[in-house]
Amino acid sequence: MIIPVRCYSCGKLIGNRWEKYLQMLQLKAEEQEKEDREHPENKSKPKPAAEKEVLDELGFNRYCCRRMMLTHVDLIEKVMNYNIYEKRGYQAMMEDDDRMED
Amino acid sequence: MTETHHGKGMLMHAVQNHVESFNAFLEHGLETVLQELGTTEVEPWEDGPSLKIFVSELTVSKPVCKAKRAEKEANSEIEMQRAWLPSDCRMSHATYGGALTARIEARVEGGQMVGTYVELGDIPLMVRSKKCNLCGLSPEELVRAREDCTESGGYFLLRGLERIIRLLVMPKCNFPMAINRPSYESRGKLYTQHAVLMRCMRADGSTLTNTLHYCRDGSVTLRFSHGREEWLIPLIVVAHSLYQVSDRFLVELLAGGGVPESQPGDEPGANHDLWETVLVMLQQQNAKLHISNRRDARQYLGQTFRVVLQRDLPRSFTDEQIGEWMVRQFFMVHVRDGWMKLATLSVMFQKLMGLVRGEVEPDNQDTMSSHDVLHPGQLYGMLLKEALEVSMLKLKMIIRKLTKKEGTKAKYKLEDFVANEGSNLKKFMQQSSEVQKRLENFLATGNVTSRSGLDLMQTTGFTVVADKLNQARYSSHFASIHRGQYFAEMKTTTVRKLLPETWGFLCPVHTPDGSPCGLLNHLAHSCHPVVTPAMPEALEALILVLQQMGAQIWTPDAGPPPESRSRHAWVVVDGMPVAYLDRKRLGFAEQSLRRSKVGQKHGLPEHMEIVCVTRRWGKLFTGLFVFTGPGRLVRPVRCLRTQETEWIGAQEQLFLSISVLRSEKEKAEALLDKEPEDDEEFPEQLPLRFSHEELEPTELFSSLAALTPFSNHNQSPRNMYQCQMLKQTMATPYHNHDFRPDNKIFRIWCPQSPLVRTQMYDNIDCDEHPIGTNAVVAVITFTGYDMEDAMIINKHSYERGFGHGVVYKSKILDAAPRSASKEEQEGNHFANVKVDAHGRILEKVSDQLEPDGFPALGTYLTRGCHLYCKIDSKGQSHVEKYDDDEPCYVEQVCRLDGASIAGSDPVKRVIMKLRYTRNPVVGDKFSSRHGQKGVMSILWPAEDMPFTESGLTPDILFNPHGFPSRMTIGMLIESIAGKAASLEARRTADATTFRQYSGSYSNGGNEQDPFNQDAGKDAPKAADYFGEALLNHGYKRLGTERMYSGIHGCEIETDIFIGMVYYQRLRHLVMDKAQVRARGKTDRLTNQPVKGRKNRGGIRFGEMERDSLLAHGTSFLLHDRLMRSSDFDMAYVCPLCGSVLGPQSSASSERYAGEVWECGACSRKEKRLVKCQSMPVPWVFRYLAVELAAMNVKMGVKVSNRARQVSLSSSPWAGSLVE
Repeated sequence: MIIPVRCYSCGKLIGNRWEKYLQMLQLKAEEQEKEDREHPENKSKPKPAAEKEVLDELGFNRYCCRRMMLTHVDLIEKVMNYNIYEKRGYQAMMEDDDRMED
Repeated sequence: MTETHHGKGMLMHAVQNHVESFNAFLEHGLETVLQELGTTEVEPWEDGPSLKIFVSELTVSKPVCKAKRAEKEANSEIEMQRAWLPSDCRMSHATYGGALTARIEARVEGGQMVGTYVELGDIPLMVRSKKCNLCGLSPEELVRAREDCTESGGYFLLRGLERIIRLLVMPKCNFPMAINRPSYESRGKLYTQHAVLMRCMRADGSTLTNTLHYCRDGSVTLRFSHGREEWLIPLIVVAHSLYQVSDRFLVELLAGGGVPESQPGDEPGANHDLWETVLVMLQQQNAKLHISNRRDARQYLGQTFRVVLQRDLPRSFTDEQIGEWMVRQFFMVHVRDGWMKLATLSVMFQKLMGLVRGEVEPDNQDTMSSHDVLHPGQLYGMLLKEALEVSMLKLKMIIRKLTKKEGTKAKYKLEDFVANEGSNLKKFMQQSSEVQKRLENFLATGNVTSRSGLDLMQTTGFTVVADKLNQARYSSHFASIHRGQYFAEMKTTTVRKLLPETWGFLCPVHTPDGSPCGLLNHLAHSCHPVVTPAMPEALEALILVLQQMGAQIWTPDAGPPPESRSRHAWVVVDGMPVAYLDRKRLGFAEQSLRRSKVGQKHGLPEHMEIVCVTRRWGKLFTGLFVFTGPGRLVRPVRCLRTQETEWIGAQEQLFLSISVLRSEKEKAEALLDKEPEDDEEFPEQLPLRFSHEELEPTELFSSLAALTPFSNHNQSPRNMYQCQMLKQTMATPYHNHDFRPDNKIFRIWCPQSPLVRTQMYDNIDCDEHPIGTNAVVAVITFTGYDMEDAMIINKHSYERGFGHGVVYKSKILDAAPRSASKEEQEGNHFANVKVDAHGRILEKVSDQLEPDGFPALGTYLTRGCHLYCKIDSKGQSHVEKYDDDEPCYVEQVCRLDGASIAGSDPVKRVIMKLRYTRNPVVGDKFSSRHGQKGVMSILWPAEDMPFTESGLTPDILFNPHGFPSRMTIGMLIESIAGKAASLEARRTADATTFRQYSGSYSNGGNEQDPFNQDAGKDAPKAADYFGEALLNHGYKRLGTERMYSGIHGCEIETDIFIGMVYYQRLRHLVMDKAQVRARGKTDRLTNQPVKGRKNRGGIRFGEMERDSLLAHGTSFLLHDRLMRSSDFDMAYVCPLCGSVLGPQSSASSERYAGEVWECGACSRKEKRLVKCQSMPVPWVFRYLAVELAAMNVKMGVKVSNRARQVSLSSSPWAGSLVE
């Protein structure tokens, strides 16, 4: 759902770095894209994962904290797509009618 | 599929078959049902005119909301229609269906044809089929339609429940199957075990089986069933009734060739003696019954069956017409043409004779190659047809009844039904329509109520509820294929055996253990059933191609093949022997057909199955069998000649050579191409030259089995267990929780995507609904709490959310019970206010509830809290209390009125969703993905946990004793790979089964070519490949680390194996199962404790448990369990008559008022007061005495003083109860 506050195994604070992590990844991806555009010949060369650099920069050294960031699935994004206050059925129909009458 | 489905997800794949099948029904099935339906003829009088009725058009419309508003209706004719969505059905527990409209045409003999449209009711529609309102929606649109973004349908919604029609295995249709079944001998004196049966499929997908039985006197009879009864007819009679032929022609035809003498070069068992057999049979038949032409045969059939078919046919039919009808309905129903029927019969006969003579081996009934699949659309179509037939029959009865009365007295005349554009007809057709009722009943119960039996082996269990515990479980419902209920009761295990023929079609790993093992299978991930019906254009195209290849097309003019049977072979297309071919040309014909099929040339269908059987395969019935019809399972392989993908069928696969690994193919080719220098170099058996290749080595797995990482390193049953456990995992069922009122739904809060995963995981997008957590697992014996598959969880991890989850339970609350009076139904409603006589609101009834009568969302409910308040029709308020030991939160309260009540009306029915926390507690079950399950035995404080040099404490401690006997090496590799993936931050470590590794993981490895076959022997093993990456990060190559004891603080001498393993939380939770009772409710009849967790009952102390206590000699405990804690009672026994029923309190007696118990009967007899003794008995003992008394049996207890001493006075605890 939402990223846990601390790493399960070592207790390092991670919840405050999630947004930062995403931003940095985004930045890295943009850089990479630019790089690929400028030097297409290097495109197929093996390079370390972008996540690795970001995690190193953020100071996640132990593999326990790294997996917390790497494998988190931010389900909240999906759940928030549903609007529970949406008007349905008769409510919606009545509103339609009101609009038509107006 | 692409036109209707845009989304992805685990489901898409499995559900596709179901949706396509139903779409095929909507597209083709409805039409073919019409064609097969026929005309209903009503003839009230013997010689009067008749009314002919038939259905000429069937249309299904998309589901619409039928709600009307009263005021709207008054000024507007237009019905308010609004798209009715599956989520509306769920929220209102309704059925999702669309209207079926038929055009009925009727004509009174000699009159005008009148047609009218009739609505026959709503038929349940499959969600996301072409007639569903969700059809073709993108994931975003699905979310707007209040569905999960991966919603892929494939099910029917019945009263809010998702039910699916399960795939069912059927005998292969349109193929003559030779069988030896000893039970056939009991059919009659002359019957033998030999038979050839063919399940013939009509154009609409319904089938009828014809069986040829061989009798000891050389004759053959044909068996078919009608109306659940079996009928046997001599072959010669059937043959004559099919097509007008001369006797000579018939003999040649059945014998399969024109030349009676054997020729040099003939194979053994050539046709000359078959000729004789047929001749003898013909003569014998003629001696009994002289039938020599078609008219005679049909008349004979008509005469014989007139009584039986009375219900189905109009009385005006002549014998010959009945015979003709029978030919159409019962014999070789896969073709309509009489000549083709006869030709089919002759091929069946030849196979039967081959079987009898031992030239043909019987076909194995249990292999995939002789199986087909009954798919949802097919079954649905069959049922719709039957429902329409029944409706028409009912209509016929109604009309007959209404018009039957003599002369002017009759309410209606036949003409009335066609007058006014058939308005009367419309009225009565609507009345008699059984379609909605029958289809809904079928889907809701899974039972088929059919007059004909529909050629099915079972009548129940066709549909199941698709349980949405998680997406894996849900999707496996769609991929499952059942062998049939009949086989579940069979005592032999042969049907359950895994046969090599199933390779690539059914998954060898994914089958449950226990009673359904081997019967409930799952489709391999790329295999799917063909659902589109056989097209006539395809047949025409095929005949054209065959002609070009030199096959002789078989027409009645061409007659029987002029040559001996051993020289030619039949070309049988969908059960029709359309041509014959020189045997020498068979191989060539197959090759060129296959080429056209793969190249999609000449209009041949791509799912065509070409089975070429030649003598080189052993004792098989030679011929070229081609199948284009529905119900076959097909799967893709690569054709090596063209390098293109070819779809092959299960029977076709038997006669192809398909290599799994490229290396295998190359090895074989090298061996075959090599010129041997001396004979010894020759291997004993030369390999086959492969014609095809698997697309991928993992092609044989179902999508669930393919999710197990490194499954090729595990002991095979462990992979089976994993398939089971994946289906029991608490996970993410869907995201639209607010719009789904399911009964019970599990959810975990912080699921993660696995670091170690197979290709399948990404292919089916499992990340949409993740199922577990990456846990740091140390393999160590620690504290003793991890014995016997128990595992220790770090309390620290738990407190930070490891494995946290909830369960939602929904309750339906009614303001008035369904059984209540109409007045109550109308008056009762939910509210929390007291109203005075004038309707003024005075005060709230309950402080704990909101004005609407329900607790506020998020309220913490414990036992005794107010749950809801309702006002009855008399204005009285009732507050219901929450009565459950486990506290919960109110998650959602949702009106369940559907669209039938407008917004401001009082609330009468709601769904209340309650949330129970299900964070791990001692005893909850967890498992890794390698069939290694265990229960959590303690939450161990982090400060006492062993820790590594970097200061991390593992989440889970796993006992090393779990490995040696189970040999789940895959889990060890996963641990190393997971650690490497985390350190490399690569997100994934590819763990696809049979994957080859090369290069280095740190540098990207061989992601592009996972099954790299060039690597050869130097390729690193999986553990080395990931171990090297660990080395790069300063860890040990084998995944071990130094650890320190958390209790003593000292270094642990051994290196501890520690890594990252993906853990699943299984749904067997202590909180849902814990059951305890000291005292409580007892059964009214026996006074024993009631059963069931729900009723706060006890756990049965059964016979086996009793036996073990007896064996232990622990009689005190035995007495305690079975008597004291159960139905202990003190009974008075009369010392004279021994009755336990007679004694009564002497309350009426002046002297002993209420002090003693006397036996009334004995007192009167003895003329003195007979005092009774008290005795401890189980209460059921009294019940037994009463039951016996009711049967006029007197039961007496002999009481001696000694017994009294032993049983009572020596037991101090019982003493107090004795006077």
